[in-house]
Amino acid sequence: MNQTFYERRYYGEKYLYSGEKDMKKLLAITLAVLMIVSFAACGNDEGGKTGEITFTDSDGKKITLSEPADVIVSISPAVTEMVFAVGAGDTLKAKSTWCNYPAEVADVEVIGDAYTGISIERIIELEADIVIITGSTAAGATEALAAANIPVCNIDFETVDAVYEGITNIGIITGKTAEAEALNTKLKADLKDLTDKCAAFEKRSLFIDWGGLYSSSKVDFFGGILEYINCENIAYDYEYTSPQVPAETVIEKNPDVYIVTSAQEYFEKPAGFDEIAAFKNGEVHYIDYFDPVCDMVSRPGPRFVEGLSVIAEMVHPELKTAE
Amino acid sequence: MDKKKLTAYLVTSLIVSVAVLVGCTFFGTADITFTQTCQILLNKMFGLFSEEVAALGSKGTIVWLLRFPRALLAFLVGGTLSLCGGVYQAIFKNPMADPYVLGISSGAAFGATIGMVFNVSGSFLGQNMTSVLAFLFATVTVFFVYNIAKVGRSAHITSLLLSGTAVSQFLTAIISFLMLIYTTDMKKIYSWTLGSFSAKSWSHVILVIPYIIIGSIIIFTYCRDLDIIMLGDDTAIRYGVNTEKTKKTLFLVTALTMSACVSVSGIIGFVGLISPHIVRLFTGPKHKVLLPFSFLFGGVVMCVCDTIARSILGSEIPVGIVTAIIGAPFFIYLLRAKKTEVM
Repeated sequence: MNQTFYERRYYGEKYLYSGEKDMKKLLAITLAVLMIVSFAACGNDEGGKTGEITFTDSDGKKITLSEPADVIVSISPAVTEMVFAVGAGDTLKAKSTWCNYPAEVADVEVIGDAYTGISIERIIELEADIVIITGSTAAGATEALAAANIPVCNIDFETVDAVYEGITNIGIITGKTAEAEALNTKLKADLKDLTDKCAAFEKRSLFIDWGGLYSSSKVDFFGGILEYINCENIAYDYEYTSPQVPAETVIEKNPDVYIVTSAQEYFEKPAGFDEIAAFKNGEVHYIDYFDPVCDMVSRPGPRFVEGLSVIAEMVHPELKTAE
Repeated sequence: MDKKKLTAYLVTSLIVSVAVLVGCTFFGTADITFTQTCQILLNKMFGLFSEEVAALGSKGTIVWLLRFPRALLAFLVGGTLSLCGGVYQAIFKNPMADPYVLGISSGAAFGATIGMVFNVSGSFLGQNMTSVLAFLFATVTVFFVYNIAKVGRSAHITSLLLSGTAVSQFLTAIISFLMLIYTTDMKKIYSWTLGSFSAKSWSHVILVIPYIIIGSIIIFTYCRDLDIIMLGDDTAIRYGVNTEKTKKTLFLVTALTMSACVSVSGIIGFVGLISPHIVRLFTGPKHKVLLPFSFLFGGVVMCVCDTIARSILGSEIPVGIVTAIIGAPFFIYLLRAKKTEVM
């Protein structure tokens, strides 16, 4: 009645505000009900279908597929090798730029890689059942694929056990569980065999130089697996991946064996390295970066024991004569 | 600045420089005591302590073939970057000018990237092709930038800054593209662009030293001209300075000197930008005083930063990261503490 302009405005706004609030409440309740109903619906589905598969990836994410995947996209060279190794190569419909093994993979379509990004449009077009990555992939891809209802599975491997677990998971995804277990059994047997053979020799130290004194620490797959061949990795103790080791540390630790992953003509020997045992005794080995051995040992795939045995022969030259 | 104060500054700076060089040689991941370090240095320089040093074995190698030349190289490169930074700040009359304004950094990085990506083999004057290409492309880039900016017989300063930026951006884009295509070399290229003195030795010191000595001498003869150029080109011409010739000569000299440094160390930012400013806060703007002190100060800063870069983690960190992380806050502190105009 005697309301001032401001009061009127105030009450008016208040009225409008409370109306909005009611609307919001209603909306929230509706949504909540819908969610409960949909959850219940999901619950009913679980385990109902035959052939449904569930597994946990390296991030601890639980992934469920209605049936073993027919269309797999792999953004990881190691995963690509595993898919072929369990005999499911025909399900791999797209691969990363780096996937170069086995030879059959040459015909598979390239979809990008973890650095430059992957073509999400193309993955959706392929109607991929699952996209498998290692570690991470270029920003946003996981979210975009999730929005398109394509699950992204991370199979990460820093240790040998993680490789076995990865193979098991690939077996589940492709429906080739028996083959995966057979592969794991073989790998474990081969690795044990190699470890036993190497144990007979004296422990020797190794420095791996991936170029510019960048090496592999315990966090890197290669840095860790060296202990299986009775070999001390002098860059083992770093807590992070690919440490660039100071030249003086290499001289001080004085490795028995030095492996360079480049052709000899590209290797620039730092000053003072002639004093290192490996250089004095001619135990410097050059593996060209494009040599398959480099992929075998740096890539935690089904060929790692094979690659490791090549390294083992460099570390323990007696291995060759023992055979 | 009076003579007495100047002498005091000079003596202090020289003592600090030597102390830092020796001190930085002592720090490192390998376990070597300070006495051992001094013994090795004295032995190699003056032939003293022969027996003690012979007993130290590979420690002698570490100190004399790795640490000391590396510290010296860091000192020289740091000094040169600061010297050229000071020159460019005068020529461009711009406090933001650093040694890389004319595109030397991106030119060098481009050359190095080409060398790494296409695995160019061979060597020239004991240097690998990556360094040689970095040197060549750095020099060529400066000439290119200068000629883009040139109108008639002279190149205007604003045009130079802009063409430098444009060419840098262009080359950087190509480098990024090459990095993504050749991912196996990505880490190498990336750490090269952040600069590193990893595993450098006497051969690299010997390579840069002639450039630095000749370059510095020529630059020092232009100190008075730089003072006058700071007043503006018109004024300078009235005072009888041939500004265009001065600029051209200095661009040529700095381009060659810096290219040599950058080709061995990679691109190390910030030292060349802040050292002249910090020194100017103490010495004033006269280039005859400013430039030599900038050299010493830049050298000390780089030497300390490189020692941190190679010892703090136990593995190497690119030194460019350290110079910026330590340099920026220190510079900000000085700016606030002195509360003076920088230029």
